[in-house]
Amino acid sequence: MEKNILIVDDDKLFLRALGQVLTDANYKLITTSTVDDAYVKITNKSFDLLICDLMIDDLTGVDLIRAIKQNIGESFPIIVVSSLNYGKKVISDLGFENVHFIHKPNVFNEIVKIIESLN
Amino acid sequence: MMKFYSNSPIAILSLSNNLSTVVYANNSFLKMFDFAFTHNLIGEKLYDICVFNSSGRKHLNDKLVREGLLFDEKMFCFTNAGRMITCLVTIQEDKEGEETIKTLFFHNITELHNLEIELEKSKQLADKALSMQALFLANVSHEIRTPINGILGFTELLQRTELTNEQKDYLHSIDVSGKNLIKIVADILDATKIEAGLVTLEHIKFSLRDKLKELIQLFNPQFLKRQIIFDSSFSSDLPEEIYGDPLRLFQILNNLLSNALKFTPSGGSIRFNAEVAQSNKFNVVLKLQVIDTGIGIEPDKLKLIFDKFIQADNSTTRKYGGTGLGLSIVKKLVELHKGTIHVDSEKNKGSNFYCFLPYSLRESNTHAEDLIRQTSQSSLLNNKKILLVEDNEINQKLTSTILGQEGAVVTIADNGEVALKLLQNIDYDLILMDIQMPVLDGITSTIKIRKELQIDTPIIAMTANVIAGEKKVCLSSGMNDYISKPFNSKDLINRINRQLANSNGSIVKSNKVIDGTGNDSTIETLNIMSSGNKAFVKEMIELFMEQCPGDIEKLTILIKTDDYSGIGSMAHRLQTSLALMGFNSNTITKLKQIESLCTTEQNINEVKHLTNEVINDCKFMLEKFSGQLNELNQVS
Repeated sequence: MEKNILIVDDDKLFLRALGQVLTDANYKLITTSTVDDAYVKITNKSFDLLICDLMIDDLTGVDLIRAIKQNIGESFPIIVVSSLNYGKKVISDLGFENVHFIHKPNVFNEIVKIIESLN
Repeated sequence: MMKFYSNSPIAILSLSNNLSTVVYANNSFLKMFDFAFTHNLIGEKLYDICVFNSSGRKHLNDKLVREGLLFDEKMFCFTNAGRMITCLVTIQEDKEGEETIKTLFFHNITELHNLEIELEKSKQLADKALSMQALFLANVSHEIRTPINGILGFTELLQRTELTNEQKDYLHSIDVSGKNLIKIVADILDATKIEAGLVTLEHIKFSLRDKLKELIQLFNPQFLKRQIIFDSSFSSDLPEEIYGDPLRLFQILNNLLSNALKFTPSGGSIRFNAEVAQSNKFNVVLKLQVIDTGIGIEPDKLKLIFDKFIQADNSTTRKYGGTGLGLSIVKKLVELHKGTIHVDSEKNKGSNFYCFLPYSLRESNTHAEDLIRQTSQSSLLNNKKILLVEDNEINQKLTSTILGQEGAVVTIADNGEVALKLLQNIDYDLILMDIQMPVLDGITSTIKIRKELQIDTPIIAMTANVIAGEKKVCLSSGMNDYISKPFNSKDLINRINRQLANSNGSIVKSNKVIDGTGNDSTIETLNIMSSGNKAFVKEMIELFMEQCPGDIEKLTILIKTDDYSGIGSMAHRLQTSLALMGFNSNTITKLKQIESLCTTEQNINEVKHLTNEVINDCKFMLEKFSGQLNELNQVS
């Protein structure tokens, strides 16, 4: 089944590159660079997966994840990509269900693998 | 109340309740608006007696009708006699019983306003003139250098032939005069370039002691000849290697020593000291000092001597010669280094010039020239096939003669297109490439040679151009080295030998020299990611080039404002984009260090230092990308 993916990252270069990789892998995606816009998009349209950075305007990536988990569903799959050294710890400490962490910048193969593993 | 106003130097006009009828006008108002002192304005309408420009009138109307007050608002209006004046208008509101009186104060600033306009015009003209002057001088110097190159080159060749003593003498004079001329042209150009902000400092590793020794060796014969006692001392804590611009350091000290030499009579003495004034783990401030027992400078002239074209005394020029540019260039160069220069002097006793120059002790950038390895081999030119791509006939003849004398076989191509045709059929050992040529220039030719013909023969650029950054452009286009005209034959042969030694041993092939910066994997990363999608690669480069200058600007501001958290989050964000764009791992490591230092708010100096290095890396890559973008555009 075709997957709809929402990507939010304020790094335009990363967004463009990841967009290219996933488009080449035949995924349908929408990208945005602000948390607010991402939240609007995800509440108005049905997505299968969110890929986001932790630090979009100072850690608001976490707020976005929290909001999605509370309002859309605890099991909504999210892939967090970040270059924060302690990013993985932040994510595991928060104890969300179905949130994967990948360390930037070498994330592309890893992301594709995780997406494929999500049924 | 009105009486107070009658002789006020400020023009005053009061309007009644309906806000447009005059109830009072003082003498200054009558004068300012060209009415006779006997003229009675009471009862007249405001807009009949002073005509404002439309936007001023609208603005004033708003303020008068509504509850607004006005303070020192600049307005343009016409007087009774039709003169246009510029005023600052202030409105004050008073209640007199039921009635509201609004009083307008006019302060005539017409003259000031006109002066402002004149000043702005002059400033624009001056700015334009400065850049025009720089451009003009750059062009003129290019035009002058080329023929001097010819004169000096052939003089050198002529000196190697059999000559009578008399002829040798004459040739020596031509040689000296030519070199002086080139020095003057270079000085004038340098001063202008520094003034116009066109000079940028290199950041490369060099041995300080070697550079200083080299300088002293250059002067020793002249000291001997002039019977001047010379003494030098280097303090033991001088760092072995520093990062900076060795050429500019050389130029500063060369000028200071030349100055001392010029003004110190035979039998006098000159002393050169180099010591560490201040240092930490990352930076060092050097104190470099030239003390002479020369003619000295009078106290009231001390401040002037660093000005352009000024020597302490007009008679100095007649007696000692020179353009008076040397010290002004020194001062500008020192300031460019963010250093300072000082002078103590006493007339007829001597002078003490000393400057403080900061240098970095650590590498901040990978420079291609670091990779050009020094070889000390004897001429490898014998029987080597050299392709000389050059449009200027004099230079063609000069260069081919120099190379011919070393045993090389030289083929001449008038431009890049001819060279490309030759290269398709014939193998050469080395290519000498002029940059400015008709039909196909040197940079484009090199790119075509590397990419289209896939030929990795060493290429050395030859150029009379003086634009900063051109060296990098040459290297990033795929050239292996760079020599600026006019060159002496020794320098040219050394550089060619170095390249031939490299390619003979087939250790460093031309393209690899550039790969060595580690930054050329750039496109490779993007290529792999997109399976060679050229449009994507191009778009990423364009995106980066659009984004990066803004990031550099932001970082610069953040450093200035000591904004730790700002720098930290920028460093965080940049890690990903710069890694994507194929920056080498040094840059990424620096960003990580910055981020972690910023989190703990430690060591702002180190943060600044590292951030500046990252900025330099970005600038370096921007230039590289601009070349690659050109390339991509040409391919597509």
